[in-house]
Amino acid sequence: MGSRPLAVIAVSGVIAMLLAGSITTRTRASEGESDMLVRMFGATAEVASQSAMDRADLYLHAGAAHDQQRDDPAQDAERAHTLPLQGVLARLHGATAPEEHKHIEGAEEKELLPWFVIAARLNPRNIEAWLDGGYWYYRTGKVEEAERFITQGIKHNPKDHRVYLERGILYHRMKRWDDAVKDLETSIKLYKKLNDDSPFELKAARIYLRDSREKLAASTDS
Amino acid sequence: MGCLAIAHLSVLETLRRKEFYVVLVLILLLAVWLQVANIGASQAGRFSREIVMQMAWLASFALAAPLAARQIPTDVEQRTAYILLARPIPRWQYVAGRGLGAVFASVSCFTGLFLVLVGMLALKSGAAVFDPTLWQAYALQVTALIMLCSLTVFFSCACTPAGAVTFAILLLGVTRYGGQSLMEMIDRLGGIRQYVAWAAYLGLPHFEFFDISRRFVHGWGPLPASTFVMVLVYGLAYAVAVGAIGTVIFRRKWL
Repeated sequence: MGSRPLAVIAVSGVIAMLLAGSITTRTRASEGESDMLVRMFGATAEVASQSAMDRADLYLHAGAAHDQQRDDPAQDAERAHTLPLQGVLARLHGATAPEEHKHIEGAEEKELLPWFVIAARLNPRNIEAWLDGGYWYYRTGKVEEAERFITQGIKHNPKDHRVYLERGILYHRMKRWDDAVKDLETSIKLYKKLNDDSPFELKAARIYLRDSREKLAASTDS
Repeated sequence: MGCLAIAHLSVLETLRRKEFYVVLVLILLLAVWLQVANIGASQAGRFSREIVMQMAWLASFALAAPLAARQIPTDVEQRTAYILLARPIPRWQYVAGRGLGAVFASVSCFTGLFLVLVGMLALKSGAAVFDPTLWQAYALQVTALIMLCSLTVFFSCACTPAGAVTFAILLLGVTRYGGQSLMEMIDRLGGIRQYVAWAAYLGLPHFEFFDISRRFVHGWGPLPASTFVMVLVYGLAYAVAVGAIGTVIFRRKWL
């Protein structure tokens, strides 16, 4: 026996991750990517990245998983259980894993940040990771880190309009009107190249762009 | 007394091996790295707490299963079992002794890993060390290890050590990570199938009740005392029951 079972478990884990990666839709994750993790694991890193995003969602809900959240756990525990001991087991499940629906607030929100960093590091093409990470950095008062983070996102995804929009909105909030105008214009330009029928992001970019231009003009006049 | 002497032998054998020390050093390095590295935000304590906790918990399972699986088959292979049983020791005491040995050795390994977590918590946020949820989590993990050792010894009486590890880890994984989902699936079944599936479900070792890491990490507080005691009693009763069945198989199959 020796340490063989340990090795078998470790190897099985790696194979399982690779298989999980191979059955998902392959994206551009490994094309021309300089990050070693992404080059080595390709789509597997993508799965892990999404898992980190799910973890961030779990942290946002203070440890209560989406499918287990109950608005009123006490009432749920009282519902009819037809099978023997089913009520006891349901109560034990409810007691050991948090189920109540709530969101973390204030200083606790910083707890989400590591997961966005990991998600973006594992798969730099995961736009949601850059966008959400940038937003939460800003929301927790780390404005410079937010800018640095989204700028990294732009470096990895220079043709994606959403990261420019996010940084444009951040610059708008930072009252850096000139930078905001540049990013929002780039975002609109990139957006127009897409055949996307959802105009929400385009509308948002236009609203922020108009406002940034007005503020820029006002600040230049004064 | 005979079973305690055999258990003592098992612990000594385990501590002579290298696996535990390798895992301990790796988890220690991980804890130090998480202390030093600033991933996302230096104030984010839950992240490092959860990573080290999960690693310690999973590593203790990974160490316990192979350890328990090799106890009896190695004795039979090396003919030590016959020498031990030549003394006036009842066979149940021999199986119980080997099972207890695996438990003591696994719990010793887990305690070493747990101390790394406690040290990290003490350095990062001293108050977390005095959180009763942490100590409940420790007690529940010890009980889960007792269940896993008993289950693996039981399987090792019926199949090869590699098979025993596979079955035990499979049951651990299915119930710990999918226990609740399985129950919901059975709830949606109809007719006789539902009752058959439910009976099988009740017979499974419910490792999911022993994981309160999310309660600790996200500050939900300790389990109510009655629930905590109920889970402990369930775990110990399950371990004893499975161990007893293992003893019967051992008697009939090998000697």
